[in-house]
Amino acid sequence: MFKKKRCKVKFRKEKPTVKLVINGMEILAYQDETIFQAAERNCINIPHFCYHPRLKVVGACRMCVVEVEGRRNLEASCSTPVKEGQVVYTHSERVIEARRTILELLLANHDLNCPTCKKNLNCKLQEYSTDLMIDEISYVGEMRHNPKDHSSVSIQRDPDKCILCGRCVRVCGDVQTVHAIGQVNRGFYMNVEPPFKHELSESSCINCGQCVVNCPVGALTEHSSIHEFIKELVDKSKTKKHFVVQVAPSIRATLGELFGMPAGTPVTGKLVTALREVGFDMVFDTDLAADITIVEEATEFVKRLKNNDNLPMITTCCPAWIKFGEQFFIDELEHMSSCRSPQAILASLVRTYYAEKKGVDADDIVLVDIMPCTAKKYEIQRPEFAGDVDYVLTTVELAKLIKQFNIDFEDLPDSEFDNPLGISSGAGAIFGRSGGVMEAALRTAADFLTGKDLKKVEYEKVRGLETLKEAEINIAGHKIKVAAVQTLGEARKIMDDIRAGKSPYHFIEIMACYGGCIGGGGQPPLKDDDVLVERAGALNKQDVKMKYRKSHKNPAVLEIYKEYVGEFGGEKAHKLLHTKYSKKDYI
Amino acid sequence: MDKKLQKIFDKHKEDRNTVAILQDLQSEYGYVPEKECKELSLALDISMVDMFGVATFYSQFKLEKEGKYVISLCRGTACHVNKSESIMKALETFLGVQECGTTSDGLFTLVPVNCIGACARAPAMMINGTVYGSLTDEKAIEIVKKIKEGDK
Repeated sequence: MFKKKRCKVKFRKEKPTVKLVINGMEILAYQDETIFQAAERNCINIPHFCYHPRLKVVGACRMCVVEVEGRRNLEASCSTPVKEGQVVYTHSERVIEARRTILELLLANHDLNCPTCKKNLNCKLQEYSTDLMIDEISYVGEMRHNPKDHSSVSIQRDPDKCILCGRCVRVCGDVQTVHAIGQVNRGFYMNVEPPFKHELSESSCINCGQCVVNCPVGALTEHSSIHEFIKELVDKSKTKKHFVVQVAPSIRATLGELFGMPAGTPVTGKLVTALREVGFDMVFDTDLAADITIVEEATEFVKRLKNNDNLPMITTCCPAWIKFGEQFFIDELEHMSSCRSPQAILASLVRTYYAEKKGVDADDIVLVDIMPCTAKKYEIQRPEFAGDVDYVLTTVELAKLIKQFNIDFEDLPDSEFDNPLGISSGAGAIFGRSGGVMEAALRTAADFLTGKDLKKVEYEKVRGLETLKEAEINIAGHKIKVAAVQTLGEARKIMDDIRAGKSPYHFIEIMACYGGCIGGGGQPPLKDDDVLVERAGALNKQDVKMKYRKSHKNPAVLEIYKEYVGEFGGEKAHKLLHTKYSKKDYI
Repeated sequence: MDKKLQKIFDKHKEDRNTVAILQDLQSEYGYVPEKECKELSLALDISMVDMFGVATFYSQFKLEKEGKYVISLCRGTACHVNKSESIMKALETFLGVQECGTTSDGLFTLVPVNCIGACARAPAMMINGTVYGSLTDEKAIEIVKKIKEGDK
């Protein structure tokens, strides 16, 4: 079995100065910490629903209550600051009794069809109810009956499963500044929904799925197409369809977590084997398409830089960001790169280049994309790419698919991606983390601008978990200012600056999710930011190990251009690998 | 932006007070209209869902256009013990609407309210500011009938 990492007490650079006692243990805390934060940092776990380290504290769910000596009432540890000499009990009889009552009250108005819930066995309400052995619900009363919302191609809402913790609302509003959903009505009738009774598909939702990954229960889930896909797959012998799958860069760094492996365990080889066992004829690597995105994007950037044409140029790999731009910054769309995302590029090549090479009818190909987010489900429905991709499954759905086929994932041998769309460079590998597209693009753009094969391939300044990372790079006499942006709240600020004509940048990467695709809306839920560091580390290690680290040195890329596409940024490349953007209406 | 909306915008462009904006919208349009809400939301940078959240939190806000005559039937304690529930049912049947509904001709909206301060004359109702007290089912219907005829 895989060894789970033991929790270690974490410290900041400065010394903690506040002494308090939690459960009889002396703990050192920082002045600005809450009891919850100090406890968690010291490996004392407190159950919670509404608290999230990167969201505004609201103290709504009361699950994290603790007993503080000298205080009459139990205190919500997430919103109570630490104090010198405080004596805290996180699991006293009184605390546990209070938590049991909270759970019972939540369960009394909850749709308890757990086995048919998509979050079954991955639900905080279920987990805590099991831990605290709630074997009876002593409250009986009226229950909610609200219609489900399955209108969106990415996300489904089931209001009867909602516990009103408000994490989705805060991540959508405060972090992404999209405000697609909010808390509506009051008291017993309160619900999380889009404004004016509209469906999610009509709202400003950009499909990023951050609400899904942050929902502790089954109220918000991905719109799954797993059953339709399996139906088509089991008919394979009759229909003579050719099953092709592509796997996005970030999946190999996250999938293992859903099989009990520690965060950051790379599972590339097992993943490929598992997909073959499921029944795919060809397993392709989206990393290769990422390399193609880069040669096209770098070509476009160099041209724009030389002509000072619509700078800054902004990357367009993230479909959530694209819809965000098309809704809120329609007047600034000329800054977006015209390059398709790696998903769309690989799909285009599968239907054209690969189909021709293999001698199969493009219509006989069933293409499935394994993607880190729900927005990719939306992307394939865009009219520009209509029909290229048949199904998109998220990482979470892929784990379910593997489990449905009763494959022992942990014991699988490694195998390699198939050719001709299976060879990639280190630049393609790092696409899955924030700053990766920028770093990959710089590696190629620098070579294009200087006409040399530069040794420098690592641009550390655009790595890390800050929402805005900046760097200034001198290449062939050009002073290039770049930024890597994550979260759409940060993107909004950058776009406001562009609109006001005061953006200092030449080139910007925008990813909707915190951490980039490794933190996407279809990924396993995050316990904390350390998990993101581990996941990013796995991709960086893969990059370093690669024979080729620059996209334009990838021999598979060069061959595809030589055999089929022609010039970088040429006419055929534009037809196959580029796209257009247009205004998107929302209520 | 039409003139009415522009006035609301100008008044609140500094304070951006959601409750006050919604109150002004309602007094101008008779309810909180979606289209105008969206225009203000974009112009004042207040999210639609926040506006809607506030509008649905307070019972003073209406989300549908009300009838020309709003019948506020008191359901407070004094009126309740004097059988206002029966009056509600009688009016519902007469008008062919449910609680809070508006008649198809757009003439009447029937809303239950908590207390109109006319307990001495319970059971009571208020129609566009005029209080009618000591009601019976028949009396209430008679009053509404008269208003309807007078409107022709």
